[in-house]
Amino acid sequence: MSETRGAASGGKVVPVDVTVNGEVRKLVVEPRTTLLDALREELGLTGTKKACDRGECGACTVHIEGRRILSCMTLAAMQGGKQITTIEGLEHDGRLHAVQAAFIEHDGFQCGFCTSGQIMSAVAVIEEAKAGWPSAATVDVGKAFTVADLSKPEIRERMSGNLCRCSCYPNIVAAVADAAERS
Amino acid sequence: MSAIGQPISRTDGSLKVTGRARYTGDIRVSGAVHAALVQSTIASGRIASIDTSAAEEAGVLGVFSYRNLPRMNPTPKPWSHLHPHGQGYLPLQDDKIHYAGQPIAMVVASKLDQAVQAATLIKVHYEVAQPVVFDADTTRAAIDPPQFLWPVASSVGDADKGIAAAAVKIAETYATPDRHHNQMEPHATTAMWDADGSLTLYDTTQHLYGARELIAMVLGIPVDKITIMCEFLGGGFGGKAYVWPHTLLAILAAKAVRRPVRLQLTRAQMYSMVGHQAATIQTIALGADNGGKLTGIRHESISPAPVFDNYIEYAALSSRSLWAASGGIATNHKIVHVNRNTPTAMRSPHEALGHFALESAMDELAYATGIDPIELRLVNDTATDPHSGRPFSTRAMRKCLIEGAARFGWESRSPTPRSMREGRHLISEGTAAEIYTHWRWPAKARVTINGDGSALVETGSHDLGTGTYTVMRQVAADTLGVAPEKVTVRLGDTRLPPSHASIGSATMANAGASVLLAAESARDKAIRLALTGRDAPFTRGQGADIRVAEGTLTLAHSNVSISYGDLLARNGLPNLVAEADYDPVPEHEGPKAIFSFSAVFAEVRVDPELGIVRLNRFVGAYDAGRIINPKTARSQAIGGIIWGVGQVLLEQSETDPTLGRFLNRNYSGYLVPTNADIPELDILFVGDFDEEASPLGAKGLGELTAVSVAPAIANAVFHATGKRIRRLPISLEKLM
Ligand code: FES
Ligand code: FES
Repeated sequence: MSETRGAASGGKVVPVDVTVNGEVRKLVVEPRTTLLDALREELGLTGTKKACDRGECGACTVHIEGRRILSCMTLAAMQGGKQITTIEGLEHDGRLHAVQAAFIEHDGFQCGFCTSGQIMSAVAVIEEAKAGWPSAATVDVGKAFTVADLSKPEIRERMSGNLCRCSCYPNIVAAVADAAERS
Repeated sequence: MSAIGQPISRTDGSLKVTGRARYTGDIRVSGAVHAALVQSTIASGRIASIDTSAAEEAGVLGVFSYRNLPRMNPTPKPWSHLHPHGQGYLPLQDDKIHYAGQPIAMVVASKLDQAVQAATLIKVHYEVAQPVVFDADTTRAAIDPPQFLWPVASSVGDADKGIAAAAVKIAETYATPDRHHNQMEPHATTAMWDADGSLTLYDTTQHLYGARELIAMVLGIPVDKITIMCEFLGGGFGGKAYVWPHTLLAILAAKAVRRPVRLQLTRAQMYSMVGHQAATIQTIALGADNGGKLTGIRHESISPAPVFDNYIEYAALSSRSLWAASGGIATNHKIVHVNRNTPTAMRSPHEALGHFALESAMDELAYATGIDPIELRLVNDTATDPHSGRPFSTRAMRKCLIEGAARFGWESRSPTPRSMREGRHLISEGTAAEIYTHWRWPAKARVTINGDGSALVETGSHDLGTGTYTVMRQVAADTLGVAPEKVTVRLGDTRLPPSHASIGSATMANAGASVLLAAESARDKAIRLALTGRDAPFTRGQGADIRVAEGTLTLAHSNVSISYGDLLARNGLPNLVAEADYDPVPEHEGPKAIFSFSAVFAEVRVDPELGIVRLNRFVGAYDAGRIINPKTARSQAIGGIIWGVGQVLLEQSETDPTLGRFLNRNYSGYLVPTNADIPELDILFVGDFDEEASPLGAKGLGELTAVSVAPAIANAVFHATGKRIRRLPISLEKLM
């Protein structure tokens, strides 16, 4: 399915084609429109949340080309041809992603407002570990990092860009550890 | 198997992990337009002139200021939970400026960016007055406020005489800073008017019915013409319990432009458009005998309020009922009128501030008497509420202290400060106890048993992340004798049976009781039908022997049974509906004093060179009565503990002393705990069924868990460093 949405509002607008959750979407946005606003307001993908709109909380985390990005800190007009995944695109064949299931099992949320961002970050954390990326909590950066090294201190460090004011942190760590182990 | 007491996963879990749960700001209403606000850059004075012409020419739908916004009715007095305004001073009604960040103009445009940009074109000239801020000078002029929630002062016995005659005395001043809730979800409102003058509102609220009453009164709209919805709330913590100016502005804007209007606060606007926790300066005097038994407690607190409201932080409340004192207990509260927006309840209002002072002072007393802090608290435990003279309904304080201490391993602690080390770090342990107010409020609910054996629970309560959808399902499932999966729960809409505000940790005990009663009534209707209806399987007189389980009514010791579905079909009924009206006597009028209790234990690690305090581990033992869902209850507890970690180590809204405005208005300036700040947390529930508190046996939990984290950690910091920090937060410079 493809569609053209977005309307001129007097200012200059830019056409941009992005692939969101596997579908090509044709956007027409103002140059100043953030990816977050484009997702929420133009494409109706409201799972991605706006909590600070200035890169401080992680609630707006999405994946661009497989990497986690704060969508409030990047412009929609820069995403031409990119593959974007949002929380709405994590399920496969109607089945929850392992991280989503682990968040339910370990009660990794209360109000749920930070949860989309937490889960998008968590999915990326596991991929980053698999790719051998160390973190500030890695004891021996000389040694190749593997997903088995994703200890609780590692998860805490890697998930600290995502604030949760309900403060579900220990449960989030348990959920990520569980999902990492199963991955 | 009983559903109550099971650690059932949240029923709204799949909606929340897939992004499908729709919060207020996610709801799209066709034709909706956007409002943006202009806020005062000064804290005191008046608007000398305001030029909106450039904004009006920017292709917008409307520009509003005090000059053209319709007048509102004054907020009702006295303040009440039944029609609660967040702030008594209403927006865009006159040219006065009472606080920095006060809304002074609003632009409505078809796109948000457009509205925000046009708002920047509005030119304001002010007559500037010097703002009054809360500081050492102005606190000297503190006044006695009128009563707000509880009596402002209290006195039992003669506290001063008891203290004067004591062998050991403590007299100290403690301070807590201004703080902001900073829920992840910004406050938002979408307002729409129908042609017939009815108003529909999607609003971030913890109190649908209070909001409806207040809006009706202030805007002169009949209550029955207002519908408010909030199915999911992205955190409340008290900050979304009352009606704040932006909601009223969105409603009036929608009326003026004849379109639905969306207004969502920015993170920075949340520092002045809605409430915050007011700072306190508290003095405590304790007297005790050499055995640590208290002979007197005097606890006084001063907090700031805006020039137009008399909000009180009841910080000294805690001292009225936590410990016995043979001579007497006296408390008092004063306020200082300053240029700021109105403070409000923030987890945990009153108690979390007062306990920091009282339970720090108790630790000072433990050192002064040489008595172990746990022992000191056991010595001063009481079965009777010192304030009201009534016996406590249940008070598992002893259990909290003893079982918590055992779990923590308190006995291996060396009491001398700076005596425990791990490498270059000082390791230490601290404890504190707590008491939390129990609220009893009326609530209504409706339960429907359907022909397919499913059930529907409807009540106008809220799920702020507290698990209301889940626990109400458990209560109804057990009462009706159906599987939890068969029960659907609807919340968050004023068209449902009215419930109370979801504040004060009151939802389980009160809204929960209304669901219990409605489910009992529906079940009893079914039983009556099975006794007296068409082809009744049971006979009159067997009513008391009928059991419900797995969706089936069964006569005890027999094979005679009928499912709900068959019963309804046999009687040609589509469903059975029952309503309940839970209407308890207010707590202070009952025969027993009802409170929740806990004792908490913290181990911290202090870097003596850098002054950095890290929490190593934490044990909390809680008496919150019967626990309905240990999984969601544990989550509330860890949330409360971490909330307390923020209070004691990080959080502080700083005010510029000259400009009178909050300075750190975002997450990079206002620090909240992150994942890396938090270790494993160990939670124990030690309470028993409390029949006075609620027919469900439950007492409040959510707020309780955030109360005594600060003194426990502050006491541990003293144990580590020998430094007693009496002014929160315990930031590094205070330890260097
Ligand atoms: S909304 Fe993007 S980081 Fe907070
Ligand atoms: S679950 Fe509420 S903010 Fe994280």
